[in-house]
Amino acid sequence: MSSLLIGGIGVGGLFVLILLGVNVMVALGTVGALGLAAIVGTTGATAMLGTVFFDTTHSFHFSVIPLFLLMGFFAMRAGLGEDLFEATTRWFGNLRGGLAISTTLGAAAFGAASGSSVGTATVFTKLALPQMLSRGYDKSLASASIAIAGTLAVMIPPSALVVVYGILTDSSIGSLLIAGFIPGIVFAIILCGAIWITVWRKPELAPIEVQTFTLREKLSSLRLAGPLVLIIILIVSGLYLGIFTPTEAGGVGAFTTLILAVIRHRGFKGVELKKTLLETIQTSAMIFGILICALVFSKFLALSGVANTVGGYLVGLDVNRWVIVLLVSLIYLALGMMMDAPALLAITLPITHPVMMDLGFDPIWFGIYVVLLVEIGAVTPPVGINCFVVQSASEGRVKLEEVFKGLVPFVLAGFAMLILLCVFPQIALFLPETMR
Amino acid sequence: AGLAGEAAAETYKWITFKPQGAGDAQAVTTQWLVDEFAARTGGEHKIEVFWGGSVAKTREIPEALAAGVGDFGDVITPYFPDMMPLNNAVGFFIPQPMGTAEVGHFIENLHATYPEFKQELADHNLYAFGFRPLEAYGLLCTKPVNSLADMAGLRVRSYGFAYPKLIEAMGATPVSIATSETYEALQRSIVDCTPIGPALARGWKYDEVAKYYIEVPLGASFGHLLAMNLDSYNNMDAETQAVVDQLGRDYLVEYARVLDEDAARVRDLWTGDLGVEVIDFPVAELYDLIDDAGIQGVRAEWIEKANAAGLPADEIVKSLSFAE
Amino acid sequence: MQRIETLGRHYGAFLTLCGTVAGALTFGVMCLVVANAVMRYGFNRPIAGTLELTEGALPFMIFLSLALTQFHGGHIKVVLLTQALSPALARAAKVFAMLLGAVLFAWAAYAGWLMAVKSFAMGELERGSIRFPIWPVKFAVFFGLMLLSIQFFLDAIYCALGGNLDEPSQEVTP
Ligand code: NA
Ligand code: NA
Repeated sequence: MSSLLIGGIGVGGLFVLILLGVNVMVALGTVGALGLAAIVGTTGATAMLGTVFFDTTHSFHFSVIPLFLLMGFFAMRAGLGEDLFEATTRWFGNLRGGLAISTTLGAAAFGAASGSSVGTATVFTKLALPQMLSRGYDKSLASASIAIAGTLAVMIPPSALVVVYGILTDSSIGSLLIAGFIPGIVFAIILCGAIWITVWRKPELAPIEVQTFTLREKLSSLRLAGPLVLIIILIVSGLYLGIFTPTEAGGVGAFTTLILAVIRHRGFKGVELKKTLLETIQTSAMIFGILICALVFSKFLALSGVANTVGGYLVGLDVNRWVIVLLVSLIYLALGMMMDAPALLAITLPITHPVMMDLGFDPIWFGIYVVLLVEIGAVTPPVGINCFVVQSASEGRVKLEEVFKGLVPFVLAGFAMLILLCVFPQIALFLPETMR
Repeated sequence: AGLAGEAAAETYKWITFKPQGAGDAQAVTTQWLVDEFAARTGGEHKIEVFWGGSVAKTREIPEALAAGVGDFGDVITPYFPDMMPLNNAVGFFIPQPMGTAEVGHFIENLHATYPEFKQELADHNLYAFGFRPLEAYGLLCTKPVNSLADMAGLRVRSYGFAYPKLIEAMGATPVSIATSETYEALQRSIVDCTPIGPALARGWKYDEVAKYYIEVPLGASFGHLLAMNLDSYNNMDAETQAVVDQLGRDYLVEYARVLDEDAARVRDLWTGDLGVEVIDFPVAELYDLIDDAGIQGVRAEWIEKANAAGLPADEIVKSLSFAE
Repeated sequence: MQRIETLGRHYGAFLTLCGTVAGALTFGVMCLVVANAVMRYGFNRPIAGTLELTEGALPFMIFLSLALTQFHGGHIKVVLLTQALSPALARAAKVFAMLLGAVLFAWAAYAGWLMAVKSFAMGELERGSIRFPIWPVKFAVFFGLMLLSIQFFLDAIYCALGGNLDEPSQEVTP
């Protein structure tokens, strides 16, 4: 049997296993290891399994993942989400749809400090959903705006998913992190615009806020949001000015949010340090589990020649390179319906990344573009992790269908953002290029 | 049937960490070697290269090669001081007086003279048919350094097993940093200097952020083994084996030529647009450091291992010592 | 059934202990990284070995928690097809999925064991600005993979006996 055929069977087998409910890590690892064994023998496959687990984790660079996650969990403990929501509500609460807009802005800022899309969606479901519903907001609009706002956490640095892209493609993690900053803010603004247009067309979705705040109350709310803004400035400027490396940014960020959490709870007791650390290491282990098994799979794919063949086919197509971008985007959107973000990156990047590099696209730009693509996948049915999280954190307030139904304008906003990135790649590239 | 004894056309796999598009001496000459192999076997056999660590990353290559994941591959020797101590001879002796080609021939001779060197690799099911030394190193710094006194308190990027002690002996602080992070580390003054040669400095673009090249004669280091899976080698017919071995010897000449060209080109660029200032260093100051206890300790480590393996270590290390 | 549940609980308690060690290490690494940055800027004296220690700690952090994550059902899976299957078939699919995990990670653990033993035999050292043996890190990889394999195996038995594993809606991803 030719290697190429084995590779094809492997790709098919992977999808069958995933559809059968085998967890993605196990599916990737099993197909990868068996595929390697089929091509180079069991001794070879065992040798690769022996080295890849150690080699991938024995790394200073990658310790940034647990540190970013730790920062996000400490930020939740420090109540940074609550403070921020309070502040944005006082400023934007009495616009039509203002509560949804302030949720988006709050989630953007909170997401900036946390590296976790799902974490941000959880926090804001707890904070904002009950408030919106009690003020008569439409369930779909309210829950969907939270589900999509979670994705901002992944665009704006720090972001574990961006680091995953960096690891899988050997790109500069420092540049990638900085690159997400402006696109994250632009996307936040576009999402606010989408909310505004939605409620402008159907005012009954979002009743006008009656409670108003005095200027004094508004200004005092800024003090609440102050610490978080400070942390964001610390991290982004630290990375931008080259004061510290990404790993150090994670360490300093986690340490600072820990101090804020301790201040808020007046001591270590309320921080629930052990619980927070356990949550952090489990999420880290999950990401690394997927990453490593994906590497086993990608080694198999490389050795089988499938990656080269598919890539070669795409590159060899006699069409404008933007047609290839469109094809690649459609592949991500289709697969994104069924898979969640890290798994999707892990499976596809070995094929798409070399193609895009061959076509002369910038690796940093493609990183941001592809992260946005997979994050759109994180809200689309049937497998939209963020929607699952919002639904389960809502404690029965909304149904899954209601969340999905509300997402139409936001997915369209995501497409608008994708187009914007294609037309103005500088949105992503400006900061990393001036950093150099 | 009836084809016994007739060599079947083979496609061998070469696994490398090097990206194909790197365009440096290592990548260019790897492609040269692959083309030559096909030509010299009369198109009978060929080598397919899996570039850029897509199959095995740097630290995975010896294991992967030994297990037959690939037939050929390049092993970065200094990453495996405990797995192949003898073949790491040069790495324990920094600084030493030899340049690129000399180091290559030195290792080539060791393999030809003492069977222990081949045996050490054979124990891991590997066979080295060629040797790729690195260029002669100096120090690339973000500030001018004119003497040892200027080194005091500088943070110098360190890696491997010999540099930490050497850097300490210079009165500087060794900072361990991965090759891929060194650009950012130089830019962000996490380190002030890194040991490197011109061609690699250009390859990694370090010379964009560090503008002083100090001619500290650290010597050429070793380097990469052009290795094969031992079984794959043994399964070749004698004719193909001879082609491989001759290619290994020719490779060293071709590689040294390309590397020299490359280094000269980079030095031209430095005096031009890149504006890197090359500073002479009082070499006697470096030679005086070699008696430092830390540096001698690292050397003694290798001598001990070589003696234990039954090698005449004192004889071998003569080439690695500066003439008094 | 009750016996396997008890066994699973005890095993889970042990995994939580391992996870606590991993958590403490994470906290330690955070402190080390911050202290190193402060010492570098404040006193021009970076802490020797920050890189090597962080690098050595990460495999412990990951592999001491991998099985705990599976214990809590946190590894990502997709339930498209299985929802449409009859209960018996869905259960069979689940047992199959768990057994596949048990076998894969038993294989990986065996591979890790070979690597760790080799490293121990040659006395492999981390040789940077500080030195320490590297084989304990490799044994941690083996240990974590073995723990994970066992957890998958327990889940398979539990599921085969009629137990219900958590659905993926509670899962946390980046
Ligand atoms: Na973020
Ligand atoms: Na989806």
